[in-house]
Amino acid sequence: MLDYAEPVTRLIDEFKRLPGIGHKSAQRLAFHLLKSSQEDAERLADAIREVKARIIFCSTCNNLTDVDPCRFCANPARDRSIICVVEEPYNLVAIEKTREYHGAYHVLHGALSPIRGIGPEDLRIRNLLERLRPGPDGESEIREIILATNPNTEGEATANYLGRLLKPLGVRVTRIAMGLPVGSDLEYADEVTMHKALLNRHEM
Amino acid sequence: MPLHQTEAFILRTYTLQEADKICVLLTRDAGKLRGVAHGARRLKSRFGSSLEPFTEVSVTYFQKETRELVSISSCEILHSPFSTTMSSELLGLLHYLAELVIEFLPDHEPNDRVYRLISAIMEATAGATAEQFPALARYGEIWMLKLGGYLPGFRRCAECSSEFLRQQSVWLTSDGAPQCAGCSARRGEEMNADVRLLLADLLRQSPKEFIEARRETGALAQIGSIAGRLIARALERDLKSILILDQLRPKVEAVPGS
Repeated sequence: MLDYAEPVTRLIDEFKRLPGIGHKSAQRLAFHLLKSSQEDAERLADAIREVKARIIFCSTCNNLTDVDPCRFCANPARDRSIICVVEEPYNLVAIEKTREYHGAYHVLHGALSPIRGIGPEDLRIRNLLERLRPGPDGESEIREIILATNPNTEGEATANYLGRLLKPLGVRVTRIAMGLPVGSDLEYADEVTMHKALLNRHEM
Repeated sequence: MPLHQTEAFILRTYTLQEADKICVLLTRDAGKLRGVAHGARRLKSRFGSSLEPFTEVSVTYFQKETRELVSISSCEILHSPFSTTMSSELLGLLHYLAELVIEFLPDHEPNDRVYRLISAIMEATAGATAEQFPALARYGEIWMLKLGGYLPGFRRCAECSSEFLRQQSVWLTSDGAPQCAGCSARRGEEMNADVRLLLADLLRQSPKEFIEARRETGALAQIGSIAGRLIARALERDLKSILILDQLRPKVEAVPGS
């Protein structure tokens, strides 16, 4: 790294700190920026500065937003009696793409992962429980919680934890189905996925 | 570049770039390996659910001479804990065992005894309840310490070498070595006969037999704290997962307004 000027080395080092970026990719990005115009570089710097200055967590659902509450929580057309719980803000985008879900969201910002040192205290569970707090009439506004954590070991354990925490509160708790992806072939399905698909079969 | 095929447990995975995963595997023939599974994060990946932690697989891989990471070509599931309910307590146990193996076992050193230990513990988890998981965690940690050469002998005094009697209490030094009443002057942590018997059972029985017998929770907790100190001493730090294990049972009383 002694061959480059100090500012270039610094830029490469900063890119290397990003997830999925190794030394070669960092070098490629740095040289792309060096070749690009002053305006392009400033636009990128402004975008980074702005995202850090303006993006906050929604105080209701923990989604990333520039206004509080976020556009999902503030939208009166959405059904507030159903909450879909997801691990990360980008999971919410995947559900929105279906255009089938019109309820509210709750972002946990992670899943249980003891090996990474992530326990229940590190997830945003407390304000999910606060959303279930009974209103003045003694009834909670929430009728159903959909647990849409990832279909892997950690997501499944997180859903199991939340299910056991929420069910005693009298709310309906459901889990998104697991099974075969559309467009795939049964021939290539592994036994665990097939087993889950059979478990989650539905009446025709 | 010859293809290798062996049985393996998936210990842990990390995401790599957009669609790949790095897997840490405990293989029967080649010990602990790290490998790349290309495209494993894609929805229609050929790896499917085979890379979930503690899935036992038949793995095929190859290794270039200059690369430390092997390339995983295929994984066939032999047993998967994911087919049953994945409770938060089971996740805790699996992550704790994975962390123990990753930390104690050097890469590329075959160790059939560790493989058989993990295999036996996984077999025991199949019918175990969440109340039995702490006993399995104790089983795993004591055996990993023993196989790594970090567990002191509990039959003789570390100072005078006199053999302990069955009903005798012993006292542990700060590095976990047991001493008789005379040599220790009854200083240090007391380990009574019940705890010593429990430890002897653990080292004699299979994990399934060990968890099936009713165990005194105090004695089990003392073994856990002794093992924790020995692990911290061997690794010069605490394991991340052990700090989380106690939090994984949902506590409804924590709910506001309940």
